[in-house]
Amino acid sequence: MPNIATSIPAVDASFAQARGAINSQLSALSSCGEETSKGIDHLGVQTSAMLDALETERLPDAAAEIDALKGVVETLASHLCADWSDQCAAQAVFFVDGQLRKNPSSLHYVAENIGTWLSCHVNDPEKFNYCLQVSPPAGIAIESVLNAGAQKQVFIARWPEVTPHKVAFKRFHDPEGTESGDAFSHPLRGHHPNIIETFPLGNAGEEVFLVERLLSTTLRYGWNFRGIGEIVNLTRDIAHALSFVHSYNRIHGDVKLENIGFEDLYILLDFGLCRSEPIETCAWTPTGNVRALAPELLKGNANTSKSDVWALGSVAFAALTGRPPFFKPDEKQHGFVGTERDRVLEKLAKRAENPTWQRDNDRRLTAAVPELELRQLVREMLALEPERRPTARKVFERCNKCLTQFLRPVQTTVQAAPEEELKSLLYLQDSGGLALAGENQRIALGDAAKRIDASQLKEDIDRMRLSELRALIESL
Amino acid sequence: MQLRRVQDSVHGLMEFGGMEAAVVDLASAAEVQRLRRVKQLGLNNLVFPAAEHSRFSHSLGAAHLAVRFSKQVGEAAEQVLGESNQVAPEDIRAMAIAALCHDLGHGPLSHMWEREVIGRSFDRDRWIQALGITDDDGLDHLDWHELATQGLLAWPEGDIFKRLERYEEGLAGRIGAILAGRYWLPYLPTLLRADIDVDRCDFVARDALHSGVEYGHFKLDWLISTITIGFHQEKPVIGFDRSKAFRAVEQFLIARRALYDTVYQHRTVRSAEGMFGLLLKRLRFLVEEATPPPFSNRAIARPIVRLFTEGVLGPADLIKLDDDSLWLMVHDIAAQKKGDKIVRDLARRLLARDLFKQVPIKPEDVRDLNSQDSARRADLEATLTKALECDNPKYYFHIDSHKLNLLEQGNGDGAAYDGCARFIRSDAEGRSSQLVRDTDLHTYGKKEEEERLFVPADALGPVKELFGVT
Repeated sequence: MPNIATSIPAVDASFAQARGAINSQLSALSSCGEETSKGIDHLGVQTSAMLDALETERLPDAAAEIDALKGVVETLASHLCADWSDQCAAQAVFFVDGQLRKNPSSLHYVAENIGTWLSCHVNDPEKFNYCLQVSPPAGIAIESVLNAGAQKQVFIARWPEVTPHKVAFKRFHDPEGTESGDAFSHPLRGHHPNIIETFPLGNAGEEVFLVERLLSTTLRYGWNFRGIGEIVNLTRDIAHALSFVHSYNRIHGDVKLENIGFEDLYILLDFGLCRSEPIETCAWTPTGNVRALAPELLKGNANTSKSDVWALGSVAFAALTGRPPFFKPDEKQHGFVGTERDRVLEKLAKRAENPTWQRDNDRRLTAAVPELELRQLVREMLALEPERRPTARKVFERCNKCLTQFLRPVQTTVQAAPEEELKSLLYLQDSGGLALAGENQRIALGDAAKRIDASQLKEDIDRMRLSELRALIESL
Repeated sequence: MQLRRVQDSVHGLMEFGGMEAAVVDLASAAEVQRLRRVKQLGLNNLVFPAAEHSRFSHSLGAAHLAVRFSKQVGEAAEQVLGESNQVAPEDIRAMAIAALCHDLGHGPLSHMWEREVIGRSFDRDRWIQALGITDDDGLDHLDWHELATQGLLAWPEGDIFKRLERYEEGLAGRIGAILAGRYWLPYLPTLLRADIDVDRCDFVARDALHSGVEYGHFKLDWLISTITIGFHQEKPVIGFDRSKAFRAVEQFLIARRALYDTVYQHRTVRSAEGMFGLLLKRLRFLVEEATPPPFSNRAIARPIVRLFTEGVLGPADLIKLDDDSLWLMVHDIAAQKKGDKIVRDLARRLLARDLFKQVPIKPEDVRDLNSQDSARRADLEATLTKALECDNPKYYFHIDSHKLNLLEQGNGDGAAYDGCARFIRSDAEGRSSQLVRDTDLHTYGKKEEEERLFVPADALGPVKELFGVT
């Protein structure tokens, strides 16, 4: 390892001190193992170069810069030595080195957050690197990676100036490819209870990001709704969202379970494919969803708002009958890429035109749904000809009119002091009410427990009981 | 939003909007429809000719009241409880469904069945097993018909179970739990299990109207508007606001008390119920003795015969039993020319309304007759044998005993004080309302018991002579 202290004569005491501290942390880091030691050499050169630059320029805020640099190395040393394997630690060091070379101006931001990233992604240098590489707009701090796909990375972040809750922060690899102009500037964000609140933001590097409310629950493929009540609620809520989208002459284009979240209401997410109507071409994602493609799209015809209605109908159909329209039992339904996907689309297009398959859909629906109103609604949403399908607005109205016994009205919540709220929850715990709560009630109670701000509680015992309570609700 | 509307004789137009529409939807389940064929007042129509209303109309009325009571409680909760203890539309729906289902388990002719056929000391464990109840926690305090309700709600092949589970997985179990007094909001089920609750408010008003007596009036709207939430040992409980509700609660208790005297415990009704009991007792004897009972239609009597041979019934047999099938069986027996004389005679007397008459003797003299080896009882049997020229006098007299306590139920949530109405009183600042021990209405909380003796009209003279009364 190069000796920083001797390579440049120390003029200023604070620089000498900083070099000493950084040096000792770097040597501490080498205890991770051989691989890491090699990486440290490069990092040492870089930090030393940065210090040199600071020393030469003598900027007024040099002291802060030195502290930041020191902080980065110290945090690296304490986390990597304690929890990380040699190989992973070496990669992490390599990534930090790369980031400092490429973008020295991110130093302060990295210094503030590197500890969180390292503890969220122990022994996962790839994800750590995702966090490291993003330079979010001012005020937003990345906490961890939620998922990183082919088109975009999604992070969990904080935006303390705007909301006390966590947010989802989306970064697109190729904004041009997703016609970002339309997607980002759509006028729908944050104006509808069933549509995710979305804010487009840019950074100094002219990258564009999307920030969304992070919901407590996002549905997944094969979600168990535990009764048709929830399926009707979902249909109503998402139809409400779609009718709003459609009223702006836009098409969501990717209605599926994975793009629906739940927090008191079902909320439509992911407007990445949202376009102005009508769209003549299908610009599907490479891993796109074939379960909810309307027959006209399988034939290559234009995508209209009625294709969204079909997609919602097929979500409801799959939830009610166990599988989407035109699929055999146990047939693979998702995760197709490349030519396999083309073959599946061709197969589905053929089935959509085959009266036997249409009858099969009908039969399955009749067998699974004794409720006449619901059956008719889903059947109409899955009409082969787009013009025969109801509009999203009509679906919403039909639910409200004929299926009210299942529908949860939109609630206004009552705010209480944290102590009062905790008391309410403890009462439920003590009297056995928690164990008797239904699935959705549990989610709601979990949210209520999460909403209580522990720092607002005065007594230690209350804070302790709160954390016990959260663990208990989690375990239910 | 579309409302589901039902016209009702007691509550007028009952509207079920939003999630409450489930009540009208679920009312078409087979188990609920069966209640159309179970009269609310059993044999009371022998005395009050218009008392023909069914448990179905009572159940719908109770569901309507459950909605009104729960909404009122919800408003009270907004004032005094935190966000996690609030009443949501789903909870109101659950309470309404529970009220709709609360009488599912009533046997034919309701209380006659429970008193004369099932008996007070039924084999709880065997019934729980036969009804297929798996979660038998906290069912010890339930009456037989409540246990049967639990059985029907837990019956996987049942229509109501299937419908509820389609609504929401586990809903049938949660409705059963509410009826046993347990819910995730522990204070809410009290609305269905207290001295003044949804069930009682509906049947007092309904039975008074249909029996035509003038005593059953009380101010229902005011009663509902005074229901509130207070605290008992720092836990929320439901009760009536003492400062507003006192007279309304008193009026309700007076109304209910009067109905007991004039309607529920009417001597002629009790006599008819006793005779039905004797007929079924004789039938049970015949089945046990393997003597072919005098039926031509065996299918209609099959569930009853099974009950007599096996001692218990499963849910599938239970839902076949109703007033209609029981009366059909009585008609069938009365029409037979051959077979057991006693059972045919009792059937004939019931159809002809040739009912036993009360012997005007003191309750303590009646109590004397209860013991099998009392000398008085032997005398009575000898007199009856002679007067009726029968060889089995034990089927020709009925001892009716009844108990009454209008303030005993309050322990649904373990909170109410014995013999007290559930009153909630606010402190001077109008805050921190507490459940109070209020003895002002304690006269209604006293236990009353009475015993009466009934014999056939054709033997009344000699029996009166025996007891020295004229």
